[in-house]
Amino acid sequence: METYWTYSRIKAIAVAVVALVGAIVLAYAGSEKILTYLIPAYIWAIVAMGWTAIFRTGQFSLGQGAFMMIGAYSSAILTTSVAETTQITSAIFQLPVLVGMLIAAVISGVLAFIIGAITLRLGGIFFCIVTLAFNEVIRIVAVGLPHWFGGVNGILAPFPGPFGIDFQHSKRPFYLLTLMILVLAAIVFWRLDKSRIGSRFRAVAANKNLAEHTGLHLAKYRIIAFTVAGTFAGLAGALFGHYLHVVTPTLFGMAEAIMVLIMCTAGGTRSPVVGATVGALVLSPLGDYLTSKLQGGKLMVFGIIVLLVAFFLVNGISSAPDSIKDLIVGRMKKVRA
Amino acid sequence: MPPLVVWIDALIVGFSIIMVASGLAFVWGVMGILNWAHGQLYMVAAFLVFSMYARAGLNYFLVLVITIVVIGAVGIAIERILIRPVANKGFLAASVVTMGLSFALQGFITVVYGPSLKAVPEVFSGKVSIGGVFVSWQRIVVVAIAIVAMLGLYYLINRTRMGLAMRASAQDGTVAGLFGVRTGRLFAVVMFVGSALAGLGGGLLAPVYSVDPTIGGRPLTLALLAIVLGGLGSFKGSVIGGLLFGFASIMLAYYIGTWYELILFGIIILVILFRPQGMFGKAEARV
Repeated sequence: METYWTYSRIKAIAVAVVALVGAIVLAYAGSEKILTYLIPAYIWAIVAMGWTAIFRTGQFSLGQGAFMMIGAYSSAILTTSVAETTQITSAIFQLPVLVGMLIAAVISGVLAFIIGAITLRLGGIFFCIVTLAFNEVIRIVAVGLPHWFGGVNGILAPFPGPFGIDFQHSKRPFYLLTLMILVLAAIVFWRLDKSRIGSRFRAVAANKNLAEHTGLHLAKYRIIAFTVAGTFAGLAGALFGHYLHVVTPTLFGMAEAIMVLIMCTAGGTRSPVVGATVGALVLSPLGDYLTSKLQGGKLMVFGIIVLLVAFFLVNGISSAPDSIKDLIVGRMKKVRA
Repeated sequence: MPPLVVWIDALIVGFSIIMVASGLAFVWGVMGILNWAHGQLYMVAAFLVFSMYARAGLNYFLVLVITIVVIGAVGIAIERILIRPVANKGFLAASVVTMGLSFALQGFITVVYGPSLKAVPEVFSGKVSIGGVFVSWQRIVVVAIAIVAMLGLYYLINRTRMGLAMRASAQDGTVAGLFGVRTGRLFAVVMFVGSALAGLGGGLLAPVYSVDPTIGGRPLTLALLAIVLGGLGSFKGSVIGGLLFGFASIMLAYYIGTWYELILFGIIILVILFRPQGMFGKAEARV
């Protein structure tokens, strides 16, 4: 048995606690404007962690946008209450928002399982292409069934309001809710990665032939990762829908699915949680800022960031401190020699 | 039986898919790399035509030739600068790099030209009557040039020494190199031809459809699906798959309306479940 309280474990827990305390302090010290940047960043971080989990089984999902869409629409349909005004027949459930979001996550997870079961036996490029096209499929369904999905105008997603907390006039409760789900996602993906299943994920990714010959069922582990990721993408999409208050067919799609990929690769995929979080925290506010300043600026800058990271910082932004340390240590060694 | 106009429209859509799919399949077949920026090359070509033909008013055929050469050169640059350094790190690394490039290109064009729709005037005015249906010359020229381009590519792959080298390095690049194929130079040619095809497609179709910075995404998706249908890595498969896919989409759209894309997706799912090598792909080999 190795010791439980290793240095790296203590360090990881310390970093996590400091980050969490910082995030809670920000909720009360920061202005509403900061929160409008941070809430989407946290939501993207949840999706990005899922993508990283899939990536760590050696697969390359381009469909996380579709699962966010599924989550957003499911939750909006389950909770919306404005049937009369927009001629939508879907306002028959009128569930509480938190319940709706949980069911939306389950629906998204089930669909992820089905898509995964079909495509992950082959994996690789087939998986890429089908998940990419899946974004488009969801959009077509949303536009094609206007009575359920509200057509191109979309569907209103009510603010959550459990226990009489006011989500409408302050962003703080929503920020804290998002933070809670982010922490939940981080714990799930961290535990998943450290578990027996997580080590099998890495085995499947590292050498699929070897993994298969040692008795691992490749598709099984890929499907597990894809389903968990799809569940959390659905939950994140539902959060985003209720945050924006309206869900439209163009909310998430191919571009957003690739943006998730960019956040993860820019942040780094060495860790199941850290890289995705760092990538989302850096790129999401940057993207929101650039969108408000310049049409197309976000896409251009994101693309350039990916290229720069791919060539100069292979392990992502989250590895930058290590890279800088290596650089300085290397220099010092050179000077001494 | 749908009316003749639907058949002609299907032919146009089929060939517009082929223009993107064939170049993509060609590059994937020989180099084993999926260029996700391929759709954006199509888009950039359309914008080059827009700037030089619609704005500056140059001769259309001159513009088309310049566009093809420029896009082909961009393809070579992509291969040399971006793909080659990460080529030995496998499919995922090259995918990340080309996806980043596709974002950067789309963003750059949006910054320069703005996100609005732009119209490129028709080059060949007038219509011709085929069996009582009027078809614009523009569309006939598109189909004619596309057919010539496909025949040319078929000749290059199957009837020339260079095509032999391409087929050899598609089977095994290392072994082909040992037998004297200069794979580095060959890949440059392959990237040039593949990208030039996307440039030709964008240049030909810019006057048929309107131009805006997001037009690169959909042809790429359709081309990828057509390639899966025809068989991954098979050039013949990409052409026939693209044509079938174009016909299927227009015919289904004619009979069942907006839901046709869902049925196409279902067909692709069935192909992946029961015949992942598609119509012409071999189980493992490329091209």
